[in-house]
Amino acid sequence: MGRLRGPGRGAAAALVFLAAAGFSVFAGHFAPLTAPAEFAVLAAGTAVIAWALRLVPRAPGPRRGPAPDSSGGRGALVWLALLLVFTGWELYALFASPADAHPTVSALSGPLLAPHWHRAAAYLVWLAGGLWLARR
Amino acid sequence: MHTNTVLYTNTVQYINTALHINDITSRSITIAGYLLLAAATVLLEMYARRPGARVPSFARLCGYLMRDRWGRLGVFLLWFWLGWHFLARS
Repeated sequence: MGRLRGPGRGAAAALVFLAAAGFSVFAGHFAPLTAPAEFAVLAAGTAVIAWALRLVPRAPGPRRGPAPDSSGGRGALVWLALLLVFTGWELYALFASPADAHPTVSALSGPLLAPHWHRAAAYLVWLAGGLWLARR
Repeated sequence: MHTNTVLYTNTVQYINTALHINDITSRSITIAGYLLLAAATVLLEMYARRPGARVPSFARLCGYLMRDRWGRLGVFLLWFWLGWHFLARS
């Protein structure tokens, strides 16, 4: 999508979305802890990273705006504090017992992502996140 | 039983009795913690998007972290790990 303009860019974006949605529905069929699920994540992840980091010579990369020249000063520490609190809470849940009374995010997401359509939606959110990051 | 464990149990029981939260399980409290953190993240992002906010938005923070190739690679490896962990391995 890097060098396209106007309607061409819109069509390319729609095509990327359709491809991501199709892939998500397909990959959602793969149960976790199986080789197909690992291959699906590995293939999609590698493709997005290769595109975002322009690892393929002459292939169009993402259209990016200028990078911010500062992190936002002390305000960025609020995000760091939130991350630290989450990490602490997650570690507490990980090491506390019994495990059932202190579930980690992974333990909670397991049953939540069990249905095929939930997993397909999660694939789409993950891919959308990767594509969103590539434009930063 | 270890002295610290007894002290911890007694303290928890004391707090539970004082706050009348005996019917609230540890599981509920743990989940409530995650929900609270998720709500705080949404509120922080909403505040950061207001004009003149002193906190950077998540997009700006990501853009700053990814301003060079290594930072970009690091952020993308973290993104990849999220997919690997939640979609393939758990």
